[in-house]
Amino acid sequence: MPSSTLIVLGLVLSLLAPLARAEIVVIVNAQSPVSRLEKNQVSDLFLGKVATFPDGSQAVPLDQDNNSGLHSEFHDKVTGKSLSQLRAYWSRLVFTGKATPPREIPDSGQLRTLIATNPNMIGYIDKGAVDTRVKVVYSP
Amino acid sequence: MEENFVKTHSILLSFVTLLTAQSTPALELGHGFSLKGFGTAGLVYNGDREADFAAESTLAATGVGRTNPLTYAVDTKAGIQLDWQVTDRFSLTAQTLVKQFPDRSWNPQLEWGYLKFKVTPNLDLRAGRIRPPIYLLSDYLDVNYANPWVRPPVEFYSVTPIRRMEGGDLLWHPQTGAITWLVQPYVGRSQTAARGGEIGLDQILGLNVSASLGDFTLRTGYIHTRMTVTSSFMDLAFGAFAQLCNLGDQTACKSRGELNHKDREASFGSLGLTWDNGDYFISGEWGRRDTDTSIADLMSWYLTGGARFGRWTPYLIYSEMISDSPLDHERGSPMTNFITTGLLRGNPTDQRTLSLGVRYDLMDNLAIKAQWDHTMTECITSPDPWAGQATGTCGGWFILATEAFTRKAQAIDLLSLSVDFVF
Repeated sequence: MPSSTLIVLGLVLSLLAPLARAEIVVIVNAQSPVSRLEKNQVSDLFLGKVATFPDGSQAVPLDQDNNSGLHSEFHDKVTGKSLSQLRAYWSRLVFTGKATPPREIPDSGQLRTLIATNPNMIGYIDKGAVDTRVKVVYSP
Repeated sequence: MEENFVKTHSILLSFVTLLTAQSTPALELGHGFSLKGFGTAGLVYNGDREADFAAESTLAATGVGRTNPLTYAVDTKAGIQLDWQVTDRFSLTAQTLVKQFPDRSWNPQLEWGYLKFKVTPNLDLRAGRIRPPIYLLSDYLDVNYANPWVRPPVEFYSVTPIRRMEGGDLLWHPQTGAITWLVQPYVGRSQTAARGGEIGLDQILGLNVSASLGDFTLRTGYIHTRMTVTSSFMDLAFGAFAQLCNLGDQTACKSRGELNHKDREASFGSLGLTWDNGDYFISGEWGRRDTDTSIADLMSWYLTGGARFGRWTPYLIYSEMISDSPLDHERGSPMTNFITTGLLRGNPTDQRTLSLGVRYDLMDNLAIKAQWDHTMTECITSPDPWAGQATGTCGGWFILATEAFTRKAQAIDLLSLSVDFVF
């Protein structure tokens, strides 16, 4: 294979790399009594339909930045909503002050640290980023 | 008019500036303050020059058609909301809205303004100026971005013109299995300016209940109030009844008591169901209004559906309003009959509309919509109730209609184009 073809192929692959889907996991604090959640429970939490974990303790969902691939993949798989659908959905709730969308955290490291320090928080990161301070409660 | 136009446009322009400067859905101002906004820039065309179409029939000062065949006044609006999370449990919300109000002004009004107290994670208590949740879409009636259509169907959403009240409510979100509930009882009172008068509601008592399961949401609501309607027309009519009564006309005395609009019972009950799986949606609502006055009792409903193909959302709406108040009342002297006819003839507002439209999500917080509405009004007339006086009308829910417009059934086409945004 001519080297120029290889270079082109490499370029194309490197362009496609960010599009490759990461493996997402939903995490909570390692000390949290929550051990497992269903898809609809995670979805309800991230859509503000439910404010508590199944055991009744308060739940604070944290979203990834809405420009990130993790954000779109999570919502595609779990809440089933595109970014504009999410905007339309939340605009039904925020203009009455009834609910506010989850806080968006700019990067996975920061999100993991927040969850590691607060047993009420729930978020999602790439599977590879999981450490001992957090535990996985759902894998889409 | 000119001044209003400039004012509206400068407000919209500043909104657009804010919008493009900001990609996240709210501006966090620190210290628990956040600022959000929404708006619509809309144009509507109605080629019929005999009557106006208005998005809120009872409240709107003017519409599109007779006043002006092309106008921005029907749908254009902008709202801005400041939230202050005072403590973990206390928050304050204030929302001002600019649009054409019943007095034709475009001055900002405080639409929502309340204090919220979080009793538990699933129970909130609110007090202040809130909107009674009489419809499925009550909470975001002005936020057109939140809906697929250019505007909520008028046959249903114009029926009970209660935009806000001073009072309180309870938001309780219990959960039973996979079903999430909202149980929202509310109390309050309100004074609303309408076209040519005022609607006062005392002892508002209502309940809103919704249940969500997966892609389904079922919702029901009921509101009961004591209503007082004041307008120069009503004052004139009931003043005349009083005089005739004093002169010994017993029918005038009775009609004055039976038809009057002071402190009378009024209620609205409704039921709605929505299904939305992200790719497709279908939703419908049914409602019934009853008033213990000469104002019409009526029933209305709509059904809508659409599909999302990427950024495109084509949709369809069918909506209908059917009044069932009698056009007849007890007969008396010619003068009494004349007044009664005047009070009752405007009651039939029967009409139905088929709407076809498309939403295009241009940006994450901006959508463009185009819609065609075909409205058919129906004639509900009583040919000869009292010695040759024809009563009833064919004017539907249109406003500022000419006499000719109300004499025969109409078929009116509207074309609307709007840009909706949130930030």
